[in-house]
Amino acid sequence: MTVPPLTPNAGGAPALLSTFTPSLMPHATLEALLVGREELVTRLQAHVANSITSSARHNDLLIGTRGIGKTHLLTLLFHRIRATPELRPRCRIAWLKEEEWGISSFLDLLIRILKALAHGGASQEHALLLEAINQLYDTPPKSAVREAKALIKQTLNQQPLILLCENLDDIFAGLGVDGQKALRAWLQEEACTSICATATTLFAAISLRTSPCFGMFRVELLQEFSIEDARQLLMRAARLQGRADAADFLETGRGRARLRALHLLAGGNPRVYMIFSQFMTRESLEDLVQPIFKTLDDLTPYYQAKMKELSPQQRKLVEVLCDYRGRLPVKQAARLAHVTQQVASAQLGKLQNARHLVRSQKVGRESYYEIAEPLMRLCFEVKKHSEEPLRFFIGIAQTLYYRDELEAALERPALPPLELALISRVLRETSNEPLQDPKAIACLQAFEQARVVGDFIECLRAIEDLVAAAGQLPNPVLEATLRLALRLDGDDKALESELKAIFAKLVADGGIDSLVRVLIALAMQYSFSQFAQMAALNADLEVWAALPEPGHRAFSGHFLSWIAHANLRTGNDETAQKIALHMLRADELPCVAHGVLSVVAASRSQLLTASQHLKDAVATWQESTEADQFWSSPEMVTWVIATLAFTALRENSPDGLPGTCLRVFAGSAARTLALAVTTIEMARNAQSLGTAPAIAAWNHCLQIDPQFAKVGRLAAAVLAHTTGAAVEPLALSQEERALVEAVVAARPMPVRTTKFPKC
Amino acid sequence: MKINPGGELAPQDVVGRDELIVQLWRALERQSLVLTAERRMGKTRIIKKMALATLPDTLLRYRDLEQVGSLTELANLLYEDVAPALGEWTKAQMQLGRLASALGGAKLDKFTLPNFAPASWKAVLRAIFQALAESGKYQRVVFFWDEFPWLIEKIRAVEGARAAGELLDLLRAVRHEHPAIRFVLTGSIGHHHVLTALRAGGYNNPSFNDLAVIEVPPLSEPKATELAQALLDGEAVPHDPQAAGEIAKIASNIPFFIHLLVDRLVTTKSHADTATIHQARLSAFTNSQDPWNLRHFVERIPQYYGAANQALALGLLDIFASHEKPLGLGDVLDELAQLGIGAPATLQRERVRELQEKLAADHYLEATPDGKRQFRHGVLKAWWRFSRELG
Repeated sequence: MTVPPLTPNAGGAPALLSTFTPSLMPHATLEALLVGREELVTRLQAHVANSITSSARHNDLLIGTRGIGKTHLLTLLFHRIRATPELRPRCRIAWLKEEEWGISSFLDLLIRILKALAHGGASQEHALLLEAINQLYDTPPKSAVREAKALIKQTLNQQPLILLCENLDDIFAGLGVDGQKALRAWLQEEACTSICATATTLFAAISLRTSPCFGMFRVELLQEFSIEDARQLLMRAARLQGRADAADFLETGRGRARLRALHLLAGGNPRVYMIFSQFMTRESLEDLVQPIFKTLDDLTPYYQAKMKELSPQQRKLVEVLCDYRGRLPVKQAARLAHVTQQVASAQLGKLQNARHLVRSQKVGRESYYEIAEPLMRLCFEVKKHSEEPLRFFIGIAQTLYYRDELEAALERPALPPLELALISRVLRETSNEPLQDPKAIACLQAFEQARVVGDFIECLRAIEDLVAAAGQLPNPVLEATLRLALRLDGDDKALESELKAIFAKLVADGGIDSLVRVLIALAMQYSFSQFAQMAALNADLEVWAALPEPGHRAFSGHFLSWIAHANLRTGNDETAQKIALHMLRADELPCVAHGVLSVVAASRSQLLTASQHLKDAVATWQESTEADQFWSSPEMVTWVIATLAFTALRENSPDGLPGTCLRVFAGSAARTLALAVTTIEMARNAQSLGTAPAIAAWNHCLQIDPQFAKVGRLAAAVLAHTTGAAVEPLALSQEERALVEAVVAARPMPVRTTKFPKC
Repeated sequence: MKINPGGELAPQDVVGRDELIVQLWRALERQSLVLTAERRMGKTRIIKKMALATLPDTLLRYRDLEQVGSLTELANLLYEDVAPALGEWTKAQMQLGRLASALGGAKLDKFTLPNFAPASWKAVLRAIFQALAESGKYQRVVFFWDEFPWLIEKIRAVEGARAAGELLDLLRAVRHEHPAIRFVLTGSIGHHHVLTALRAGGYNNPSFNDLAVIEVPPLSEPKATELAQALLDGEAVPHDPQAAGEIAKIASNIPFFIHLLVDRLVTTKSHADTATIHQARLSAFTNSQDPWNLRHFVERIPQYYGAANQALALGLLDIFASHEKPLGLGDVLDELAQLGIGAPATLQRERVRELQEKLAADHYLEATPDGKRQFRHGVLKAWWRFSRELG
């Protein structure tokens, strides 16, 4: 393949970057802007090459939302075929572009192919083909189809046809079932055509077994861009436009924080990145406002038509998701749409699977939904602010610009009136609180998402960007926090290196209070998976004891609760008890302190004391703030409940305290875990305690939460094992059998070494 | 070899079908054939490979009949297929010439197609077959007609059950009158479904009983493994030594699924081992887009067996999916009774037997040598268990 040289535009004219029509861009620009899909293009190219050099014919279909980059890939493929000397003279290419409207029959399709061939042919062939096409219009349709097929065959002259098609879903809809059958027959009989096509969704005409063209295409679902993909894209675009400064900025913490905010806006859609990246690089905002309005205005009828196809409930949910920039759990979407969770869940499922208007991501056990096409959200956002169009841009500017940048912009001489008004309003309406800045919020969200999935490197990057975005707020506890974090996983060299770099930077810059919180969250995350460093952790107690007071009260409470819990989990009851008592004296997270003390008491068979502490734990937990409840952590709460359940069981009161606890925590994230642990504990100790109370307790749990059936089944299997009953009726999988056997083998097990099952 | 699920394969890439093709040629010496199998089992690949064979004194013609909308169109297509191959003018050709209303039809490369009058389709078809027989150029003519049931269904819908029945009768007569002319008919919907629809329209002739029905099976285990190995090598997928065998096994030796599994391993950049291969299949099962379109096997049940039989058919398949070993009719009846599905015991036995036979004809079940039944394909059984939450 011969790729034309790319002219970096330093000093020269900026490259043409077309946001909506990549087919207008030259080959070199398209290559330069290819991000994250290099392997895919290579694979498509290999398929085309195989189709050209053998009698095999590949059909590929790229699926993705508007603006995801389908046309970019198809255009690039077109250029690569033409630029490869071994391929170009051995095939004919017909490219049916986006604007090929009005295909309503197989004959229409054949004529479009002929026109595309004429367009790409030599001038003499071009004229002859156009004349032949013209004659087809005077021929009866049935005969015209046969003649068109013969004409294509003649034009190809034994060479394969590479058919590039955009919006194949629309073309198939136009063809109808009869047209699709004719197309399939043509492809099968002539075996001369290889198709590479695009569509916005996977459509029935190729995915249903009853459709003529079922299974004929190799389907490739194009994924949204990650932040790193977006950064690469914008850096390359900036360099192509001769804006090396803009590209360099994206490598700074402030630049990355801005990108994180843009990522929330763009939802991984490359076209939206490109639209709004112009804000970051253009000198004048005024020049951008009208084109962006027009762009979104042009798209609005398309999305309005999609909305009309929906039921009222579905429309409501789409509106809710449009209003909310980001992902919403079902529960919250249901609340905002005033429907039940069941209705929301069912309708969101339909919107995802049948309409392809929303997409979901599982974070932990919860599914989060968002609008699949960010452009749709933006169109409706503009429409919503139609009485005050500037409102939309104020939101965008608040998202993308830093306060100091806007203040500097105000100083520019001869500022256009619209721009002056816009900047003034943005400044007036933007909070001075650094952590309220959309870029800081984006960093915190990124941190939280990374923390949930255990991507600690990304956690730390997010923290670093947060510090850069939110400014420099000194905090003396940072050093100790980081030192602690470093000790938690001595084997992870990459993490250690990252931590050290960030540590150095934070020490130099100072820090912010919220940073402490996120770092503790990070450390806690480690503590639940790795308890090997307890000695080091306890040594750090001295560091924490020396922390300045007051000012970091909440912070030290969280640390203490975490370290007490870690001691408890590793059997250091005495240390755990000391810490918990210290916490009570200092009024630091009393709910956690009582929980720890209840576990210690239960393990010493001081059942009355244990019960009393748990009651106090529950009472204080209910009184504590939401943030403190968060820091108590579901696992901690669950463990406490399990301990009490066990205690109650030993007191022959299976329906007493556990039930109370479960009701108290109903709806919390801890609930299912609590149920699981409680039941497993009861089942495991059934032999010594008698199966009847265990079964009664399990039934009670099931009444509270029927979804508990899976864990309950495991518990029943353990019970069956201990009582010698048959396990076969439960039809356990191999994995489940192994788990049950392990549980039985481990019995009896002290409560404090309980391992939490994954639910 | 490159992955190419659903695309056109080079003849040399049609792996593992040579023995079947030899068997089909041998069967064609005796009579015409019906090839049956679910979609994407490879029927079209097989007959296209056969149609590309070079045999002395033999004319081979492949057609996809799904495109045909009327009997006249069929006549035109057939004429288009045989006209260039016909030799000197014969009596039958002169008859054809008289049937052509005018030489004003489609202009093809070397000749202009005639316009046959719609009413003359039967005479045209007879004349074409007669002309072929009279030409003396070929000792054997084989028409490979793909998606034949769809043609009959279309004719029934557009021109009525009687016209569709007349076509079947005519083709049967041709097979008797001209032993040199053979047909290989394929279809992704069973011919029995088409006949059922025609019977409802009053057609009861035995139109297929002179044809040998041959099911296109999955590949043999060694050939399926060979295909998987060729794809792993062709796509440079790093793999364990037993990976190809594992892919073949969990794809039930079905080539289409083998292509899709390797494709998934390529796109996820996986090292192919037992875990990643099973993960690849599981991802197809769990994908809400249902990329293997397996839901179809549940969704078509009311259409195939009627709403009245839906619960029973689902119950039967649930039972077969839940058992590792084949089941006899008695076992099935016992399980149905436990599930509380179906009619009173006196009626149940025949109804279940009949439905089991239909499920076998539609490739859900197969008979074992001891007269019991089991799921036909392991991959479908695995999906059934997964999707119906059978544990």
